[in-house]
Amino acid sequence: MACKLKGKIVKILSGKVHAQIQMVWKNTPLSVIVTTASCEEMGLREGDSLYVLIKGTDVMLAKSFSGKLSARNRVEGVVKHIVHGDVLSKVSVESQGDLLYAIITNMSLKEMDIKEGDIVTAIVKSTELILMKGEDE
Amino acid sequence: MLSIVLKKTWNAFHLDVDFAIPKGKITTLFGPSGAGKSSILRFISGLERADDGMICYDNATWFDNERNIHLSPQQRSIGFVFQDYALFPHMTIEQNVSYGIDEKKNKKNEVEKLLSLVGLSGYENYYPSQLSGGQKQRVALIRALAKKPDLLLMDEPLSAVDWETRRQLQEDLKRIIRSFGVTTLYVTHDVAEVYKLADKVVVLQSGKIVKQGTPEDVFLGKRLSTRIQLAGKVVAIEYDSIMAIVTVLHAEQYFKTLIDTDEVQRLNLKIGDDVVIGAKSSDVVLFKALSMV
Amino acid sequence: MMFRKICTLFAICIFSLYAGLFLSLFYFFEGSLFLETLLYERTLFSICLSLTAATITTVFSLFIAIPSAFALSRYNFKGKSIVDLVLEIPMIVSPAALGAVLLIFFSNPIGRWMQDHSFQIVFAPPGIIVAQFVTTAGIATRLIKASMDEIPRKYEDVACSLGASPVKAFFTITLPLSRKGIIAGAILTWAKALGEFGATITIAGSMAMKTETIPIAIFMSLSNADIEKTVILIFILIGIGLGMLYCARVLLKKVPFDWK
Repeated sequence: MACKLKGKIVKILSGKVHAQIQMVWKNTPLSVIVTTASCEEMGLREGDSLYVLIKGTDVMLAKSFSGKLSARNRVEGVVKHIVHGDVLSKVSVESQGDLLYAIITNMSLKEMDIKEGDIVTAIVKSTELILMKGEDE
Repeated sequence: MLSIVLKKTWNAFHLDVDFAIPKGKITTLFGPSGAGKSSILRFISGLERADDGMICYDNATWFDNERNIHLSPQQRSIGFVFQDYALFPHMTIEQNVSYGIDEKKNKKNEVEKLLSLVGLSGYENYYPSQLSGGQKQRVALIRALAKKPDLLLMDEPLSAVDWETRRQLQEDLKRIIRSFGVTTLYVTHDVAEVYKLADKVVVLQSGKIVKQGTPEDVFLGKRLSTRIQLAGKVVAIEYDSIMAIVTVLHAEQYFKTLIDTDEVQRLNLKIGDDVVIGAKSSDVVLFKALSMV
Repeated sequence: MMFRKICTLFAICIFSLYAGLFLSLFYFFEGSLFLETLLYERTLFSICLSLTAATITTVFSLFIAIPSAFALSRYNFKGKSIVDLVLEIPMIVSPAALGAVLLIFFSNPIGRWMQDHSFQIVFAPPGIIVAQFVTTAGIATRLIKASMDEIPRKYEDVACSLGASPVKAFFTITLPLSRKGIIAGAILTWAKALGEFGATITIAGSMAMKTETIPIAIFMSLSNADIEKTVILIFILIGIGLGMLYCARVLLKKVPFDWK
């Protein structure tokens, strides 16, 4: 998985089909939607520590972000490194000592004029995140 | 239930295991080569003796080092299928299959019934050298099952057949073993095979059990929140500038997955590796098959 | 190509050597004497004695060699390497020396006691069999062991897992699978016994109509400077040998399969 953030569950809002897992990773709140079945099978409890997996292709970047947006997860960080591909580019963003990746189009990269050292906000919808328990891999 | 406690030391290698095999189920013994899987089978079958331990099938003690009990293979009710079948080359298929059947009468009938079960009717008078790998495998299986053993031991029985045949044979094996309801211990180092066959998996690493449970539990299962989890084999890796397309074969279907190139390197992903695909159920699109036309 | 030619040349050399040697026999060959010598009572006796002794020796040798070969091939026991080494003695020690050892053994009190309570061996027909047995049993064991080593153990393991006792596994699996090796061992034992000379003459002597096998008859007639008779006896020996080899070929061809 593209990147892994270790967080702690603060609250679980259980619905009929879905459960919203509210977490904190360092100082940043994160929200993850999983099915209630997964939540039960994994035996998730408030206070548990576990990994949040974020795929680079699911991450969008914003610069000087303002206004309202429905996506729950917003992480502010500094652009560390950019790898240019033919259509897509991979932008590494450092935030609170962890690295996140965003795969965005070269067009957006150019339009937004993203350079190393820029401050950006990485945004992901709750439904895109995956939870993983303990151990690596 | 078959309970197994074994200790054995060869020079610097120590085998020390303690596990149980549920009755009537298929249990796989999984691990890399050299982990001691085959040795465990030989101890359970009585072909070799461990330094210490105990093997009990229900109330019958097969091996107890302290009480100096060590039943010979013919006193244990077992069937053993070897890696390369080990069909007796000088005997016909009929003679091979009937080797373990004691009663004289009905022998021929019994053999016919068994052969038809694996789709090999009419092959009675063939010699093993005249059969294909898959056919030999099926003969080896029914030969082991012919005397209706309590326990079936299989030592990587499909490692010598090609990939296509293997998928087919896995289905056959499962069907036949289920129809006999025989307790089975199956040695393999193929994750996909574990997923396909096993009710329980015992993971062995350098002589020690590191994990056991259902395949789902052991390999990923309750650790990942994705509802879609498919075990398969990597069949192709194509690199784009920053993303790689990894093609995974699962149950005769190809799945293409997009992964960060760095990730491929970090995992040291190669063709032939066993992997599990995880996907969120909210990330799929669904069509009715006919509306695709 | 060059290498191939050189090797072939060597093969032709060996062939010419033997062919030349045998052809030279015809220089002294008297056709008119052949039937007369062959049907001569003493010759017929030698032929019968040779055939009988070689056959009995082969039976005894195999009877001992097959189980010993199995033990050496399958089991580990203390002193196995010594047993292995001792089996090679007949191959490296001259037959005459072996015969002398036998003669000395049967002349000491234990040997004499054994003869008194069974039958006469020294300078008697049973001595021929003892001499042939001693020179062949070790070799037969080695040969059969080699063929049993080639049979993968897993076949016996499978048999045992199918409920066979070790005895049943031996008779139904090991023995049939090694039959080619056993037949080959039998032929070699028989041929070696038939031509055995050194040990036989040392312990059984060379008494006409009693312990005179064909090789001994050849030696005797040669020492009487009767070259024509010697030649005919050699032809008889060659004839029996070739006949046996031919039978063996036919027999081996009837063993239907090759398991590899």
